Amino acid sequence: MSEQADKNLNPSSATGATGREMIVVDHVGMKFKMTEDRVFSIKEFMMQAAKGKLTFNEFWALRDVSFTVEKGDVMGIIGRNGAGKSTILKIISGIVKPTQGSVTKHGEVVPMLELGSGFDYDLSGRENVFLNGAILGYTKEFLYAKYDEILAFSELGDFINMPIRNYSSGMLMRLAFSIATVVEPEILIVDEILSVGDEAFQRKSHARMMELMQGGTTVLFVSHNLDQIREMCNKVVWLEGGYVKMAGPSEEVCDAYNI
Amino acid sequence: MVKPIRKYGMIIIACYIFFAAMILLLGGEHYPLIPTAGVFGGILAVLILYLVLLIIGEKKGKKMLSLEFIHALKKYRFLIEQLVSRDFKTKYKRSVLGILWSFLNPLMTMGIQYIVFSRLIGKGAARGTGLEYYAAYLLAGIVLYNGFLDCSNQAMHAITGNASLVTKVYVPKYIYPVSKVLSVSINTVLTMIPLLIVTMINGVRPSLYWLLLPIPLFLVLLFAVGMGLFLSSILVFFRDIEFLWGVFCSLWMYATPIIYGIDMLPDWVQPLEFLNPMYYYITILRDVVIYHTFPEPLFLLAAFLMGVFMMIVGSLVFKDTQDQFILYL
Repeated sequence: MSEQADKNLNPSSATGATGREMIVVDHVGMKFKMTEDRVFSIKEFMMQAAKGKLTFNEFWALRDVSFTVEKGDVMGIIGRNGAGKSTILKIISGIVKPTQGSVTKHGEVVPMLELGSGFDYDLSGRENVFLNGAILGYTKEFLYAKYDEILAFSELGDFINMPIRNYSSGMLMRLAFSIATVVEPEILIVDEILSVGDEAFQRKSHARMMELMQGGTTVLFVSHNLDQIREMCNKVVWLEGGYVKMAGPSEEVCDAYNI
Repeated sequence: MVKPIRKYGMIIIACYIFFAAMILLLGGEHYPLIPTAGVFGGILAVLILYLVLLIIGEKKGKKMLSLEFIHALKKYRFLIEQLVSRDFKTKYKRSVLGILWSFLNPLMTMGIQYIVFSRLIGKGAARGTGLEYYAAYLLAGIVLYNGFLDCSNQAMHAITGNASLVTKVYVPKYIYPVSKVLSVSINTVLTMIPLLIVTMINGVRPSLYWLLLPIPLFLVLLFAVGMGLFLSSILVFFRDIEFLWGVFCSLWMYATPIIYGIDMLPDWVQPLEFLNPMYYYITILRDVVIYHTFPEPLFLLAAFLMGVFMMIVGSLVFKDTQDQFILYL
């Protein structure tokens, strides 16, 4: 049963491009070198080379991972800690280059791997909206057009003009979340999105996430919360030890994972 | 997309024509006029042809390397603007004098060095040794050298300093060192203002030659970007390079005729200065601002080639190592 399900997601057995693929992960492998002692300076490098200790242990974080995400899919990625979930997300986002294999994307990817990337604490909230927005890849016109919406969602009011070093951690989270979710991406990658803020804001952000994920956006969603996965995803990939243990419709995989 | 290419292409060509004309006008006695004008005209024709090719390629949707570069520039222009503006806003945010420090810093250095060294060097310097306008002479060297020093130091930390960004978001990594060099360059251009003022105080009148000021600045910028790319990638792997670089720069400062005149070096050492890129840039700057003579054409060529060489080395090293950065950040 799982093999059949696997075929749905494996690009090499697809009968041909359906034209609906958004992300094609093709036999991706990721190898990390583990040194006994991290070599960070020239002196250490020379010394360890001289001692012959410059051998590396290899660690394969991912091995022969292949799956296809089609337009409109909400694909969950589950697995134990260290199974390789964050690594595959980074590879798909383009942050890390895979040692083997390739990833083809047919749309603009917006990663939500961490909130508030690039926040500078000396600048005001407003200035950070533009800085963070630029880092996430938004255009100037988009940010100007959406600024009021971001401000309203964050509920920060006049505080937006204060330097963010004076913000509480809740306020920071709200600002970061508002900037990140004003996006209208083709492909959204979400890594265990944190619950931010108080009750009211949590509900608001959950609603916004649902809106994004069910609005026809293609989504890759990593979570440990199986209920959330069942609720939101139509397909699931189960990674274990760097391999694809199982892949298919979310009900099947979630049931198998529970056992 | 064609319109911006056309617009920027025209701006570049207009700048080129302006500087070529200035060089021809002012440098006339150094080389035969007609053949040189011919060479410049030839280069201009090549530039225009290239621009036309780019526009055609863009319209047809062809894949050209330069077009990809231009597209990347357009895509990340907003980000570069934001990063540069961030650098400026935070640079003096919590200081009292703020942006005035950009002016005061080189002036104070010059002041101290002038007081200490003018007795030994500046005073009593005969006309023709080039040191009669000692204050301006000093400041020119200081401003350009500090500009380069700042550039290289800031750019060196561009990747490691933005490690949190590099590991979380996809942005072409060369944006980081390039935007830092850009920030520092703008600062360096600002420091030209006190330089021109001090030069006038020293007794030199403003002249048409001052219009050539962008030339040494551009040459240093070229060199600095290459150096920045090179250093920022090396620092990721070997963290102690920043200390080595600091020591190296100190030596470099004393090896360059900033405080002293080149004639004060022993005869056998003087030709070695031709290996020193900073010597070229500073000499060109002084020629243009203080002495109102046209810089030696060979100097200009050598300076340009050194900049291009550094750019090539820096880009290659950066390009080859950038995929490994994330493993060491």
